[in-house]
Amino acid sequence: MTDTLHDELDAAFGSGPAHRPVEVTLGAGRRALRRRRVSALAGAVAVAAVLGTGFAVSSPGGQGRSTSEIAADPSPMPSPTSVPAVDEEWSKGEVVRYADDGTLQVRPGVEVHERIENPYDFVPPERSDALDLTFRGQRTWAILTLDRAAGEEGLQFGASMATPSNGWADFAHYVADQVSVDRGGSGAPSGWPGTLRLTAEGEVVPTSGTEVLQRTDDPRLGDRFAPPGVPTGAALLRAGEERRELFVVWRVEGGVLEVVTTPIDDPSANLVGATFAELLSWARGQYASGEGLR
Amino acid sequence: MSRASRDEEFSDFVAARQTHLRRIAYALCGDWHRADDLLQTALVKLYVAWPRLHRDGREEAYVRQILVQANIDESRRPWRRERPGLDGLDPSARDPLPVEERSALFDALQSLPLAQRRVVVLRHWLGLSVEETARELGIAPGTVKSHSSRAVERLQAVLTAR
Repeated sequence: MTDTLHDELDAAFGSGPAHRPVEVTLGAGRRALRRRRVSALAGAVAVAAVLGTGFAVSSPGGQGRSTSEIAADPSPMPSPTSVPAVDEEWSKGEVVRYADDGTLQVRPGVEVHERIENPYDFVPPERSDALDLTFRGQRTWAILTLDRAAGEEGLQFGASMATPSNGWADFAHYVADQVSVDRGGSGAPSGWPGTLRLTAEGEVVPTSGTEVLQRTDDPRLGDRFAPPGVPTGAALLRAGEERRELFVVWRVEGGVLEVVTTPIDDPSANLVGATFAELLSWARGQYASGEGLR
Repeated sequence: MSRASRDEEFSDFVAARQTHLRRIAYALCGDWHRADDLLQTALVKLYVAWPRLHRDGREEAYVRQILVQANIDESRRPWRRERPGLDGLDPSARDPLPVEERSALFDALQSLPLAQRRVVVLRHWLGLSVEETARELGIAPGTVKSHSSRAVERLQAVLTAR
C-alpha cells in the first residue's frame, strides 16, 4: 500500500504555476539578514548605554523613541493631503516611492487613508513610512524602508505590502507589531481589548468590563480551527472603552488561550446586523475554506 | 562568506529544489498562492541561516521542517508578504493559476486533519521512517502510527472506490 500510495500521491497534483523570480526571494532574504544585523547592533548599543559609556548612537533604533514606545505610540498621521500624488512616470506596479531627495511620492489615483511617519525611527538619509492605502479598489497596508544594510554602501528600498487583517485592531497596531518583530522582538499587542481569560481551572471566562451577549462552547468550527479534543468556543461580546460589539472565537491549546476577534460593526465586513447563528455559520465557512477569520 | 557567493549558492539551490519544495507546501495547504507564501517564508529564513546550513548540507531538511511545522490553517504574522507592488499590477506578476486537475485522492488528503496530513506527506509521500517523521513533527512514534493508520484508511477508501 505504501508504495502505491506514494505513487498515487505523487501523481495526484501537478507542479503549479510559474515560480516567483529568485531575485524576489533574494531581496527579501537580504532585507531579513539586514534587519537581523541591525537588531543585533541595537542590542549591543543597549548594553553600552546600560554600562554608561556615552556611546554615540547613529544607527536605526538608537535614537528617538525606543521600540516599546513605538508600539504604544506609533504617531499616526491621517494625511490624505500630506502625501501629494506626483504625476510623473510610474512603472507598472509601482504605487509609492522615495524621490532622490528622500521625499515620499504617491502615485496618482492612490488614496492614502493614514500615514505613520518613520516607524523605524531611522536617521536621515535613511527613511521609513507606513501607509494605509487604496489603489484601484485594493486596500493595502504598506511599510516602506530606505535604509543601508550593515557593511554596505548605498541605500536600498524595501516595501512590504499586506492585505488588512483582523489580526490587529487597526493599522497602527499592525505597524507597531511588524516593527517589533523586524527588530527581533516578540511583537506588539494586537490592539483588541482583552475580552476573555483562562482560569486556573481551565475555564474561559470574560474579563472585567466584558459583557457576554451570547456564547457557545461548541461552535463546531472544524479541524482547520482546532484539532479534535481542543476546547473551543465562540461568543458575541460588548467590550472595550467604545463598547463595540465583537464576535470572538477561541481555542485553548497547550494551556494557552487564543482569541480571534472580529468587529461586527465594520460595514466592509458585511456583518452588521448578523445574528449569532449567522456569525457562527459564517465562521464555519471561513475555516472550511481555509480563509480563517484574520 | 561573501554576499556574492551566498547569493549564487542560494540561487542554485532555489532553482534546483523549489518545485519539489513548493509541492510539499501545496500538499499540506492545498492552495498554490499559500504554498508560494509558505515557501517564500521558509526560503527567506534559509537565506539568513545559509552559511551554517549549507556547510552542514541541511538546506532542504531545514526548509521542509519549516513547511511542515507552519501553522498552515491560520497564523498571525507569516502572511506579511514582501512584494514590490500590488497584486495584479506588478510587471513580474505570475501567470494566472492553471486549472489544476486535482484528483479525488488529493481532495481526500486535504480533508484530513492537519496532523494526519503532515504524517501522510512525510511518511507516505516523502518516504521518511516512522522515527524520522516523529522527530520532524516533534511527536511520539506511536502518534505517527495512529495518525498514519487513520489517514491511510481514509485515503485507501478513495483509491478503492475509483
